[in-house]
Formats: sequence, structure tokens, C-alpha cells
Amino acid sequence: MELLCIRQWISGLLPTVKKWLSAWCIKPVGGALVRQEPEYILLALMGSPLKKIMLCSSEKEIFSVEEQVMVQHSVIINNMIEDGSYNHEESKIPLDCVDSKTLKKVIDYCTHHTHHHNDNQEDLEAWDAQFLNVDSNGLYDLLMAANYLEIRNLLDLIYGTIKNMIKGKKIDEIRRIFNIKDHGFTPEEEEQNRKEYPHFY
Amino acid sequence: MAEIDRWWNLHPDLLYQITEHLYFYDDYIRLRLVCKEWNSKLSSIPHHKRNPWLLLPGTTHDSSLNHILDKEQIYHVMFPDFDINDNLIYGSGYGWLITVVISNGAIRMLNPFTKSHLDLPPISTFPDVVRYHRDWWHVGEYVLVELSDGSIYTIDAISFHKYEIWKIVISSPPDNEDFMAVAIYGECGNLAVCKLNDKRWTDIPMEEISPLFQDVIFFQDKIYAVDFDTNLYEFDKKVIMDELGKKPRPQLVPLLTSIGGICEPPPPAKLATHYNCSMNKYVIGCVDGSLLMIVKHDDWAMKMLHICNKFDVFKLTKNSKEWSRIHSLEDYAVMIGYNSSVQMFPGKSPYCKANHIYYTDNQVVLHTPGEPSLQDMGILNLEDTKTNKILPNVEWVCPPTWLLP
Repeated sequence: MELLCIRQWISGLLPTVKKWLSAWCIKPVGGALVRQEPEYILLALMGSPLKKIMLCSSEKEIFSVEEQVMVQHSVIINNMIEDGSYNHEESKIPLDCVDSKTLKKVIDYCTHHTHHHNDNQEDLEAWDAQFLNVDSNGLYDLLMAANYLEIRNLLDLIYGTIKNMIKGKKIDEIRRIFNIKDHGFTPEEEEQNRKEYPHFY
Repeated sequence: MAEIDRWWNLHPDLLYQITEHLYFYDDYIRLRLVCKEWNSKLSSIPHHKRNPWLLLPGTTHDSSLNHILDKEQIYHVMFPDFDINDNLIYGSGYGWLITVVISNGAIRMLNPFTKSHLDLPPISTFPDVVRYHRDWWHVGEYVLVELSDGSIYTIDAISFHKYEIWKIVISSPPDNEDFMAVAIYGECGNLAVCKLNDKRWTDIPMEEISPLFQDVIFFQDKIYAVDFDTNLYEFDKKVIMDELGKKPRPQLVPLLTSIGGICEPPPPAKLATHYNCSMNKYVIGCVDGSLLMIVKHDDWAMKMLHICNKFDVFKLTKNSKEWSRIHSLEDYAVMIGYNSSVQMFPGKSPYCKANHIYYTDNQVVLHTPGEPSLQDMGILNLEDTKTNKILPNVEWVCPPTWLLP
């Protein structure tokens, strides 16, 4: 309620400032163009707490995260907020295909990259490498989550890692890395493959 | 969510995204060998990469390439039985390369994606070859060649293998039963055809002694060829197929009218001949049924000084009686060179742009070893007529060519 009063006050007293601020666009790290309501910009400048949104994992655990962070990185969440299907006051965004462990990691990634986007490239890359130091199951979960939420830079990072996991490796090793126990080829097909591409095995 | 075998079931879109990030083409092959699911979701030939490939014959890890092309854009393919110094590429289409083995005159089709190969009849079976000969007088083997006017000349076999063929074009991938290959061959630029499993090449007889064809394509069940003077010839593929199928050895009916001949529309332009200039013509079939003719002017002087080549583009709409000059390819691009001249629709591809002409050299005769400046490849933007030369100072063992999967 407090916020509403302040908003009215600002709207009433500073129409020209509001007009100026309406044209002000913020271009965040993730690439999604976000247009903030002028009142909230003023509030941010005045040091008010940043807006938070609630994300709900498949295990019904709720994570609170800065709206700005998720909106910068996730196209899906950005769209939800833009088109008004997310009501700030009461609702949470259900993410039924992302479990808590993965969701926490995704939030970590987005938060770090928002707050540290001015860091130098090497530090960011080191952090990313550490971040993706997970087993193949964890990587799979992250890929699914990043794909669902459409987080482009995380996806690129994951694909880059997958590429390195494949590059130059023997087929059996790739199967082991990706936990593929049964390759599904018939014995004849597998033999044919081995004959045709002996240097890959 | 089940823990095991989730990667196995990866959605095709995500799998495709992974392939987009691969550097080596061999890694693409690896992906297909990992498991059956991935194998079925990824085509053996990367069709999803609608981009044309530029085949650069040579050794891998050529450092001159690395600073010119982004790493992600080069796929290195190793061909174990292929001696780059003994082969010249004379055609490409549908993902296949057609090469001539210099040492023995064999003609081979190779698919760099699937690494399969098959043979076409060798050069020795071309209609103008009288016989091969070896005697103490000459060093090495030589060939007696008959010209259309009946005269005979001799040439050493190696040079013959190098220069006998101008271009070879195929009608479809070889697993198609209507497959046919046509070659522009000989001193007089004649046409010869063959089907799969033919033992020899069969000449398409012409009235002119030296038609000097410069390009030929298969388009809508016909064979179109353009000669030195930009005359367009049309041949009926079905009739030729039937003739070739006749046993014993088929005699293609000498009357041109039954197979085809010069097309009604007169040549697009009376091209003035400059003595220091050579012009290459290319004919392309378009999606809408019309034909394009591209005339590439190469001024000798221009070649030495790396000045842009000049291109004229003409269009013959379906059923029209006249060629018209056009200045824009609009949403399409064309690729010309040793490959089967094609029109492409680049769409949103970052690598292939609309209204551009992608060209490579197809004049082996003019290549002098040690003079890489004579090897000419580039991309012409029709909008501002500016040309981007591709790798102008690199010397190639045999001319690079476009390859479209």
C-alpha cells in the first residue's frame, strides 16, 4: 500500500520527469530489452528494495529471486512479466519441469551474471567452468531447464561444454560420458560402423 | 525423472543445436555413431546445414585458412584413399564430387560426407579417343584423339587426362534409377552422356563441328546447355535415356530434332569479343521454371591486377521467346564454378546472402603452378557490384569448388 501512495505522489507532482523516464530503456546483460515503469525506476534510485518474483520448482519449493535478474536472462520469464500474466502481489511462476537443485543452480547462474557482468572475461569464464563442473545427469537437467526457460547464454555455455565432451573422443568414451549404456545398434550394425570408421573406436 | 539413458533420448532440436556448435565434421560423424537414437535423428548428410560448402582441397591444418575463416566454419574431412595430387575435381552436385584421376584417367564420384564412392566410365571411353599408345619414341603413354572434322592429333596421356574434360554434371544422386551424367569434353566442347553401369560415354551428336559448350544442367527432365556464343540448347533427357538403354551399343539419332537442339530464343546479347578477354557462361534452372544465364567476363589484365570480374545476368522466363537482362537475383543466390550451377534460397542463413553470386574458378587449363593469382574465387554482391575475393593468394593443387549437400 505504501508503494501505491508514493507512486501517486510521483505521478502527480512530476509529469515531465515521468515522461522523460518513460522513454528510458534499460538493456541488460542477457540481451532482453526491458522497459521499466518510470515509477519503479525512481523507487530504485531512491534505494527501495528491488522487486522479487517467486519461482516454484517441481518439488513445490519456492525460490525468491530479483525480477530484474530473471527477466534479463530468461526470455520465457521476461515474456510472462511483460504480458502481465504474472501478478506480482500474489502469484508464483510454476516450473514443473525443473527440480529444486537445478532451479537453484539456474538462479545462481543468472544472479552471478547480472551482478558481475562488469567483471573481466577471464574471471567470468573461470566461474562458468566451475559452475558447469557437474556430472552428465546434472548437465542434462541444466540443459532442459535452460532450454525451457530460454536462457540463451547458459545454453551456449552448455553446448560448448558438450562439444568439448565429444571432440576427438572415442565412441565408447562418449557413451560412458553420456551414460549411454545400450547404444541400440544391432550387432551387425555396430560391426559395420566399426569397420567403416575404425579410427573412431 | 529416470536417471539412466536420458541423453539417449535427447530431443532432435537439441541434438541439432549440438551439431551447430561442432567444429570438426568428424565430430558430427561421432555423434551419429554413439547410439541408434542419435543416428536416426541426424541425417548422414548434414542437410539441415543449408549452407553451401566450399571444398578446399589440400592438407589439413593449413594455417593460411585459420585467420580468414572463423574456426566454426571450417570442417576438416580426411579422405584416406584420395591422393590430392593425383585428382582434379570436375564437378559437384547433390553432395557428390566428380573427380578425374590424372594418372590413369579414371572418373570417380566421391561423397565426402558418407565417404562412399563409385566409378563412372573412364576417360579412355570418351567418343573422341581413338586409342592409347605407348612406344619407344614417346616418353610415357600418349593418346590419339579424333576431332569432329576427322583430323587426328596426339597428346601425352597425363595432359589428356587433365584437360579433356571441361565439366561433368549429374542429374541426381546416384541411388536414383534415372541417374545420368553429362560431360563437356574435348577440344570442341561436345557433350557426352552416360548412365550408371555404362561402359562408355556416348556422344550427343551436334551439327556444329565445335559447339564449344561451357555449361550444362539437368532441369525439369531436360538437359540445357549453353555454348560459347550464349546460344541455349535443349535436349530431352527421356529420349536420351531410352536411346542409351537400347542394346546393342546405342546410336544416338543424328537428327537433332528428336533429341533437341538450339533453343528458339536468340542469344541474350551479341557479346563483343575482346581478344584479351575470356568469358564463361553458366546456365541455371530456377525454382519458378525460368532459366538464368550468367556471363562472367574475365579480363586477362584484370586477373593480373585483381580487378573485379564483370558479371552479366540474363533471364529467360518459361515459355518466353526472349532473354531479358536482370540486375538483381532478389531473394536468391547462385553458385557457379565446377559445381552444377545452382540457384539457392539463403533465407536467414548467415553464411549465404541473397542477391549474391558465389563463384569459383573452372578453368584448369589456365592454372599455372606457382601463380596463385590466376585462381579466381569470390563473392559478388549484385547490389553494389562489389566483389569479395576468397583467399586470393593461396595456391591450390586443384581448384576449390562449391559443394551442396
